[in-house]
Amino acid sequence: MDIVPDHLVARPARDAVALGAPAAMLRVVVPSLARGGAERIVIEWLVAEAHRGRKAELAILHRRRQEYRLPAGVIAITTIRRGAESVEAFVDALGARWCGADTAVSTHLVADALLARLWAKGVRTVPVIHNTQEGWRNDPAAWPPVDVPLAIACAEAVRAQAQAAGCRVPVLALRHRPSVGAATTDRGSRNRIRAEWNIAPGAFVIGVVGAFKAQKDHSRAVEVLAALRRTRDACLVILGGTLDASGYPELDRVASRAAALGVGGSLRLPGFVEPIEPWYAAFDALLNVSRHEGLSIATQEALAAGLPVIATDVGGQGEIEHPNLCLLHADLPASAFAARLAALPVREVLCPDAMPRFPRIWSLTTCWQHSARQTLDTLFVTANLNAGGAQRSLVNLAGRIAGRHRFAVGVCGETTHPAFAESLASAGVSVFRFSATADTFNAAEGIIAHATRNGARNVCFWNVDAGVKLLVARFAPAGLRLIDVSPGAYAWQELNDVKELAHALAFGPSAYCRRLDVLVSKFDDPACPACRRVEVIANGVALREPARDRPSVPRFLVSGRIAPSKRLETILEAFAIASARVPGMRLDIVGQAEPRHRDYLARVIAAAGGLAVNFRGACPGLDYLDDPYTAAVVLGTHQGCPNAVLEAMAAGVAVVANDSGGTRELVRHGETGWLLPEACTAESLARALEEAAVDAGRAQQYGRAGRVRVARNHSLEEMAMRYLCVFDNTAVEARPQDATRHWFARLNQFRSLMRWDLFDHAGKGVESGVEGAGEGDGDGDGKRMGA
Amino acid sequence: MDELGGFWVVAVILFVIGVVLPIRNRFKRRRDAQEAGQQHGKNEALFRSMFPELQPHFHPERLLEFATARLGRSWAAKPARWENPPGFPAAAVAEVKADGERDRDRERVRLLDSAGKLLLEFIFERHAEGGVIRFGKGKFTVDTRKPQQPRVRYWHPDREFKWSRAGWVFKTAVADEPFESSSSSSSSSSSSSDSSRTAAAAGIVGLGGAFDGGGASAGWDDSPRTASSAAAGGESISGAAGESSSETSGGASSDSVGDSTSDAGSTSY
Repeated sequence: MDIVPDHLVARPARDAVALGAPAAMLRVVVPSLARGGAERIVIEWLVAEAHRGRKAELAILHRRRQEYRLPAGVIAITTIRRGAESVEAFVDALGARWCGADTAVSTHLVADALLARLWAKGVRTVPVIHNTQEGWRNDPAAWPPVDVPLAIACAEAVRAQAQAAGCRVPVLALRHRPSVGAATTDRGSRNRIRAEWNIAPGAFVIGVVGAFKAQKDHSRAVEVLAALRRTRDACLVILGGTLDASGYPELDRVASRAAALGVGGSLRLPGFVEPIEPWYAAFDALLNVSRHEGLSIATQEALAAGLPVIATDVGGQGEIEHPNLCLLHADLPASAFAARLAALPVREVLCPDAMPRFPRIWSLTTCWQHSARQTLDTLFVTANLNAGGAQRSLVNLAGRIAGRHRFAVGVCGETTHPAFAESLASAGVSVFRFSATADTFNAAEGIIAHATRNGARNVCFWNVDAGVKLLVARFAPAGLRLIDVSPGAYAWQELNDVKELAHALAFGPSAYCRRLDVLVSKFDDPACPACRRVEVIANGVALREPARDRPSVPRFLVSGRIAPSKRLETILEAFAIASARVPGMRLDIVGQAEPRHRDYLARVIAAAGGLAVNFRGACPGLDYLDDPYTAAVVLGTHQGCPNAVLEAMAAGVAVVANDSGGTRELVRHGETGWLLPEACTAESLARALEEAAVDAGRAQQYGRAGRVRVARNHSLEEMAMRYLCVFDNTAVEARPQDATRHWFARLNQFRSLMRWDLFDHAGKGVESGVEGAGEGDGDGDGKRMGA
Repeated sequence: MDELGGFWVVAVILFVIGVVLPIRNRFKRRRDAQEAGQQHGKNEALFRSMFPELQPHFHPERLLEFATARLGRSWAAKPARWENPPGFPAAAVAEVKADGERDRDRERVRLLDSAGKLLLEFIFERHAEGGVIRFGKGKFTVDTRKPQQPRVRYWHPDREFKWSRAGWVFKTAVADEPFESSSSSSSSSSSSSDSSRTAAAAGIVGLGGAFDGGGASAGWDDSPRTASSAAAGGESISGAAGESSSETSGGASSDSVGDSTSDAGSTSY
C-alpha cells in the first residue's frame, strides 16, 4: 500500500514558466557526404538534433557515389544540393538564402574562397578544422574576425596549430565521439564477415579504417602485417577506398608493398562498406598508422567497440584517453607496431566499451546572435523555480533589484511550484524557459543566444547544472561576463562529475574557474576554488514579526525539501529519542519531495509512524512561521547560507543546526541556537532538542538573539547592493547613492526589532521579501538535467 | 686529319650501335620485365585482396584453361567423369552432369580431390563468347573467341573485374570508378581524363570519368566535366571503361547485356 500522500510529492507545473524564443535553425555547409570523419560528425550532430525536432538546413556542394545517407524519416533536416549550377553560383545562392539569419553557419572543409562568397552576402561562418595542419584546405590566419566569430578545431592539438598559424579568431577545440551500435560486438557478424572474406577462424584480424590518402599511409600497415605474419597467422583488412585521383597512388603503394612482401593473400580490401559496424566485430585490433591525424573517428569507434587500438601518436590522438589505446611514435619501424599486435589475442569475447557522447555540442558553435541593442544587463540562470532555498534567494534578490537593474531570469528545467514564478512576474521580472524539456544543450544554447541577442553584460548562474555551466563558459563570447553564485561545495563536486563532457569540450573545472569573471560564495568558504575574483555575499532575508504566543508544548520545525541531503531520517530518530524523554513534543515538517525522492519520502513517513509528526506539505509563503515554535531544526550537507536558518532566525525562532558550510556564520552555539557537528548523530541532536524543550526560556532568548543577528548582517538591501556591485563590475561596497537607502533600511529593521523586543507584538514583516516554502540553501539537488 | 676524324665518327657510331644500344636495350628489357613482374604482382595482390571468394581456385587464367579444355571436349556425353581437369590443379576428378533436362547448354561441375572429397561445385554454360561459369553469387564470362587475346570478366553483386593477359580492370567498393593497375608506359592510352593521367604515373589508373566531391581530403576542383559527371552518375563509367579505346565500346556493350540484365542489374563497365 502506498503511504505517500499526494500533497507531499511535488508535481511539474508545466505552465509555471513560459517558453522563451525557440532555438534558431541550424545551417551547415559540407562539400559532400563522402564517408569521412567530418561528414560523419555533421550527420550525427544534425540527426541528434532532428530527433528532438530541431530544424536544420544542410547544404551539400557535391554529390558522391559513395556517400553517407541520412537516416530515413528525418524530416527536420532539409538538404540543399547543388544542381547544374557552378559551386560558386550555388554558394552565392546559399548566401542570399541565409543572409538574414541571426546565427552563423557551420562550415566543414569548405575552402576559403567559397567562405568569402558567404561573407560577401553578410553570412557569418564558423569553420571547423578537421585535420592537423598538413591536411588543411584553409588558411585560418586569413579568416576575418568580423565574418568568422568563432572557429572550431577537432582537437586541442589542432587548435594550438591554428593559433600558432596566426588565426585571429577565437578557436575552440571540440572532441567528437562517434556513435557506435550493437553490431560492433555481434558475434554472428564476426563469423559471417570472416567467412565471406575467406579469413581463417584462428587468424588475427587487424582492421584499418580510412580512405586511401597519403596521410593514412596504408602501405605501412601492409608492412606491419608482413612483420606480424612472421610470428602469427594474421590478416589485414583495410576499410575505405579512394576519394579522388590522389587515392590511386596510395592504392598502388598498398598493392606494391603487398606484392613485394608476399602478403597479398593476407590482405583484404573491401573498400567503403556500409554499414561499417559489423566489421569492428570481425576485427581483433585496430591499427592506425596515420602520419597525421586530427582526432580519429575510427580509433574512437574501435575503442567503443571494445577493440584494442595500436596507433601513431600524432595530432589529437594523444587526447583520446582509453586504456586500450596504445600510441607509438610515428617514426617507429613497422616491427614495433607488429610487436604490439603480436601480444594481443584473437578475440573470444566481444564486449563493447561505449562512452558518453555529446553530438549536440556542435549546436553551440553557432548560437551567438547579432545584438543591435542592449536591452539587458544581466541574465540570471537557474535550474528551476522550485520551492527551494537557492531559488528563494534569487527571487528575494530579483524583487529587491527590480527597476534598478535590467535583468531577466532564464529557467533551464521544469518547475514544480508556481509561487516563485508568480512572484517574479508580479515584480515585473521577465521569466522564461529555454526549452520545453530539461535539456543541458538546449539550456546552454538558449542562455548564450538570449544573452547575445539582448546584448547582456552578465550571465549569472544561480544554482545551475554543471553541464550547462561548462557549456556556457566554453562557448560564451569573451566579452560576456560570467558570474557563478555558488551555493557551496556541491557546485564543485558536480563540475568534477561531468568529466566526459569536460573532455569533449577540452574544458574542465579549472578552465571553468579561469573563465569565470566572478565567483560569489554564500559564505567564507576556505575550499573555494581559485578564481579571478571571489566575493562573499551572504543571503539576505526579510525580518518577520515573531509569533505572538509561545508554543503550548515543545514544538519543532523542519522546513525544506524532503530529500536525502536534509537528513530527515536522523531528525526523526532524534525526535523519537527526545520524545521518549520529554512527553508531548511535536514536530512539523514543511515541504515536499521531488518525484525522484518519492521512495525516500516513503521511508521518512514510515519512520515518523507513531510520533507526533505533522507533514504540512508545501507552503508557498512562510506562513508557518506565524506559528509558535520552540526551535527550528536544520540539517544538511554542503550547506551554503541556508535560508531555512535565516528565516527561522528572522522570525525569532532558535535554530538547531549542524555545522555545514556557512551555517556556523549564522548559528552561534549558545547564542542563537545549538550548533552540532556536521556529522551529528541522532543522539546528539536529541539532546539539543531535549534542552530546547525543557528550557523554553533559553530557546526564546536564542531566538531573539538570532533575529538581531539577521537584522544586523543579513538584510535584503545589503545583499542586493553587493550583487549590484558585482554586476556593475565595481568593488563590493556600499555605493554613495545607495548608502542612504541602505541605512534607512537598517534603521527600519532595528525599529522593527526594538518594537518586537519591547512590546512583543505580532505584525507584518518589515521588509517585503518574497516568501516560499522554507528550505535550506546550498543543496545541489534538483538541478541535474537531461542531455 | 679529316680522314682520321671521319674514322672516329664511324667508330663511335659503330660502337653505339654495336655495344651501347644492345646494352641499353638489354637493360630496358630487364627493366620492362621487372616492371611487368611487379605489375603482375600488384594485380595478383589486388585480385586476391578484393576477391576473397574466388581464392584459391578461380583465377581467370585457370578458368580460361578449364573453359578452353571443356569447350574442346564433347558436350553431349553426360554424366561424365573427367580425370585431372585442366585449370584446377587441386582437383583429381571433375564430375559433370547436365543441370536440368531442358537446358542443354548448362552443366553442373563437381570437383573432387584425390581423396574423393568435394572441393567445389559450379555451373558451366556454353556461351556465344565461349563459356560462362557461375559460382556462388558470381559469374565468369570466358571469352575464347580470339585465342591470342582471351578475356575473362567476372560479375558479382558487390564487385567486378575484367581480365586479359594485358592486365586487369577492377570495379569494387575501393573506388567510385573502375580502375586498372598498369605501367606508366601503357597507362596513357587508357584514359584521357586528367585524373587518370595524374594517377598513371603511380601505376593505378581510375577509369571512366572524373571524381566528384570534396570529401574529407579531396581537392575542390569542380570543372564542368566533373559537374557533368556528377549529373551522369554511373552512366559515365560504361562509356569510358575498357582496356583500350578500340575495345571498349564493343566490350562494354556486350558486358552490359551479359551482366547487368541477366544478373542483378548492377552497374556494368
